[in-house]
Amino acid sequence: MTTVEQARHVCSLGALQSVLAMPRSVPILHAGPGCGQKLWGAVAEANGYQGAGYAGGSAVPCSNFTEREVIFGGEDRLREEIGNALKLMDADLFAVLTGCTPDIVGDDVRRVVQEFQKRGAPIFWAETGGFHGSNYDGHERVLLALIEQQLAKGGDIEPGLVNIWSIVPYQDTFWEGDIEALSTLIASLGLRPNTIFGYHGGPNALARVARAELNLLVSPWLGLRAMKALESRFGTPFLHYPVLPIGPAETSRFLRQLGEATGVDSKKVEEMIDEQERRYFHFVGRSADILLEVRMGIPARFVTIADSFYAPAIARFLAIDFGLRPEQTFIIDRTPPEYQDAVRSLFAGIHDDLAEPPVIFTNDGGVIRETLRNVTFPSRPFVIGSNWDRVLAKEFQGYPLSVSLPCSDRLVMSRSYVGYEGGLRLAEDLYSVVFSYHQ
Amino acid sequence: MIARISEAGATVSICQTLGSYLAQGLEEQYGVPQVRSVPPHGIAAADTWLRELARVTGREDQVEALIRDEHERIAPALESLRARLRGKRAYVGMGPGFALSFVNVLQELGLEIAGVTSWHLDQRHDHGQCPPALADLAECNQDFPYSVNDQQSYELLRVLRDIAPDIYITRHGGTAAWAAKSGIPSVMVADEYTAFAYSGILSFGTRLVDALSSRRFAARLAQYWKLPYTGWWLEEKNAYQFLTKESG
Repeated sequence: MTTVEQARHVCSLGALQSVLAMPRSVPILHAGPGCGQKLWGAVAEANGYQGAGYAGGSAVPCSNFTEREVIFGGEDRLREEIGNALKLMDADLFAVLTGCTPDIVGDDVRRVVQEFQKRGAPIFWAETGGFHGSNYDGHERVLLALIEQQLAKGGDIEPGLVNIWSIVPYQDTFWEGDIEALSTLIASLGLRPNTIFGYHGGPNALARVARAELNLLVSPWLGLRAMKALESRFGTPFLHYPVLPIGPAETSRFLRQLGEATGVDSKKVEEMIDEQERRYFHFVGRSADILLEVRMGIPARFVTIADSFYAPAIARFLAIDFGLRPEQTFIIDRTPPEYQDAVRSLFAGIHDDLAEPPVIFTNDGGVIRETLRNVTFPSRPFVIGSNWDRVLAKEFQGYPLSVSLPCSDRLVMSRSYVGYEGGLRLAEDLYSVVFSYHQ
Repeated sequence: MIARISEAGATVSICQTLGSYLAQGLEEQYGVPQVRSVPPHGIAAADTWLRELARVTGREDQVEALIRDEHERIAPALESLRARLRGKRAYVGMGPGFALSFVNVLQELGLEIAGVTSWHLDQRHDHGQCPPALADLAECNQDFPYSVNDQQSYELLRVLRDIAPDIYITRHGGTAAWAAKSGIPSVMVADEYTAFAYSGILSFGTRLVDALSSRRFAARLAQYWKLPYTGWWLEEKNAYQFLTKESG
């Protein structure tokens, strides 16, 4: 039996947060008492203190599946719970998500939910019992269920309309800011971003999904199944961009590919890139003195401990745009084996003295600790990971910055590291760690 | 500690320019012998420095074994650094003591010296002799440009432009960023213990490798950064124009 020290994600049922991330949507948990609270505590509280929002935290309806339901089945209890939740909660969309116990005893949740769907209730369901996998997996289960049960064709294609599919809400501490940053980038090319999750998302956005010209998936691997489902259901092509764009090099590459996929005039794209890169380098150049001449020494190397969205994105930004060396990377999201080579390839060639930066796929804090104890750091590195890793960083005098769950040493509202502006934000946050250490 | 300074077995100084006054006084007034060899930046200097320290403190019987062990210990790592640094051209901007020490360090790491510039160059120190670093340099058979007191930013940028080194190594505060803004990676040696002796040269070599592999930062910055000088100056044939005449 393998054990995992220091949880960095949760189980599939953590996808309740993906439902909550769509405005006016409410999850109904068909799960044991406590599941929701524990998941919410890990993903939304001890992770930037994102909070309960509109209907999360202790407001989430739950069937409280216990011994009685295990023995006699929980369908009646679920039927009662859904009926009451529909009367009680002021929402436009409901999602029944199952936990381990109903999935094991075999409740026919589909049939119960279909009874409500037939009566016109805005409700869908997804099988998210924790043993299926992580909340990354759970997020895609919710996406697939949403596409299959809720989305419908609704009129002509809107030219320039681009659906944004990317990071996992709430698991990504910066998800809402990230989506806003992606929207800003898309809009900068004259396109119209359609955000499903976050402040601008919700029912209106969902109604327009099928009318988009393009589905944009900014993700290393997660969401590909959902993109294929959208393609076969509505015939919408998708652009798969495998890296979260942080900083000028990646963001410019992203804009060029997006421009090409949507037929935006390349001259316009290049003008936009030039304007944004100039602004970025204005700020970096202004502070170049401090980045190059600090007596305390500025880290030349870094360790990243994050998911397959953030670890390659941060490594590429710091290596390509800042010239730092990706000494060791850990990817903590249980990237499926068939996608690991693709994720690994995002690191190849990004540093001149390190042809293949070492990448380890593990979600186990024990493996991370033992690996790093065997690395000799010639100087103090940045340690970009979670709050767990602050303790470990002390062993080799690393400069820690939390960007990954649990991110319990930071309050995160609209902050994002995505885009040109996001690169500046990440540089500010990283170097501020160095300076504040020496005060 | 200061109360017992006159009882010391020897004086070693980190900076020969600034340390020689006190060292000379201790030697003249209290008979504390001073180690006059260059500071132990890099391997050869560390060897000489240790031998001299051993000589003045009567430990000659121990020093050779220490030197041999240290050479053996660092050999594999040093070779790996040399393989990555060999042939890279370095321009050095430091005070004369450090500059000459680092010329040796850089050569030990396999780099070529593209040039050196210093705020000043002293022909005589407080002990009445030519500084050892300068004497050593005068005796060695090397040819590279060495200029003195041309470290105004406008001059440095012109010189770097002309010489186009792979890397700029500096101990002149405020100049590293200008090199980067001209597209040249730079390393600021703020800590005087940088490249100190055997372990020091390895960590300094690693820093150079890291800096050279980060040249994309400088290249991209330079692509967007407008230097504060006119095209006339940046394209001017003679970088030392203002030394001889003022522009009309």
